[in-house]
Amino acid sequence: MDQSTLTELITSSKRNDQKAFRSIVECYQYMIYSLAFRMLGNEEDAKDTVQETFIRVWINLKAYHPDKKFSTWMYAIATNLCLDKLKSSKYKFKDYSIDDTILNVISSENVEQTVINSELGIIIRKLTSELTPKQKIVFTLRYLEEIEIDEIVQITGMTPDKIKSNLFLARQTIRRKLEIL
Amino acid sequence: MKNEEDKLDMLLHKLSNTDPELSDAEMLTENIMQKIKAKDRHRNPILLTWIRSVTGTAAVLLIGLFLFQQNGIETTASATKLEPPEIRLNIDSVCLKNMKSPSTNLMAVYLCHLQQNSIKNKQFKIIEQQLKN
Repeated sequence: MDQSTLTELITSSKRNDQKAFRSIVECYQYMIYSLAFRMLGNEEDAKDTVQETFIRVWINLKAYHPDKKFSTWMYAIATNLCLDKLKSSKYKFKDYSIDDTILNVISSENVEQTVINSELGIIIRKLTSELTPKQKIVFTLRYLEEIEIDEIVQITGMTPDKIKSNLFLARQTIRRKLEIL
Repeated sequence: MKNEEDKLDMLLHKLSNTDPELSDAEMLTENIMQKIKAKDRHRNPILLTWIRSVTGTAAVLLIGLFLFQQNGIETTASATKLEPPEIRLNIDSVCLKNMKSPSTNLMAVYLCHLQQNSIKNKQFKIIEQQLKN
């Protein structure tokens, strides 16, 4: 979707045009789903997060300032929702040991043939199980969503130094897990 | 150590290139739109919200004005406190002294005053005649 079309859709949505907002949902729902799935490692929770994100976007659309990138603004909303979920008891530390699933991913030539959705969720959960919610957030944004540090600053509101230290600790923890293999 | 770093980089590269599959994308869109419609139904109309705030402000202002006026009346009343009737009406204090509540029976006070005046007039005429003689 080009920028002018997006601006038009946002303007219409601000005037309670639900058809315009539907177009925004159709365009961005996969992006938010992918982010939520990679952060939570769970399909159902990721879908719930997508719904909650778009409801918040609809409610707060009038507060959106066009100076900010729309996707960054949506990422920030979705990230906050994921962070709340990761802090809940459901996502508290569970001991997932590294096993053959991850070994298969590393050794396979074509990942998409090897990994289906549920397995991908398990792999992500196993890899990130020992990370704190904040470490999980920055790790997912940087290494799985491949977002630049500057944008992560805008999404999370953390300082670049804080992000870098969280990334360093996350990498260290995961590397230690991989040593077992 | 280097081996682990490579493993990690390889794993992250593969995971970032593996997109999670979204089943029932249309259903998800539909659910989102239904929830938004439900939210909008519960949202108060702008006009109603506007009227509510205007009437609320007006009520507060009216109460304020009423209190201000009440206070003003009390102040005026205390400032223009009625002077004693004997000063205000310049009526003979003899009449007032005999009355228990002069303010409630002004007519009687006035009649008394007239009687006192007529007595004084008679006395004055007597004195005038004595002086002529």
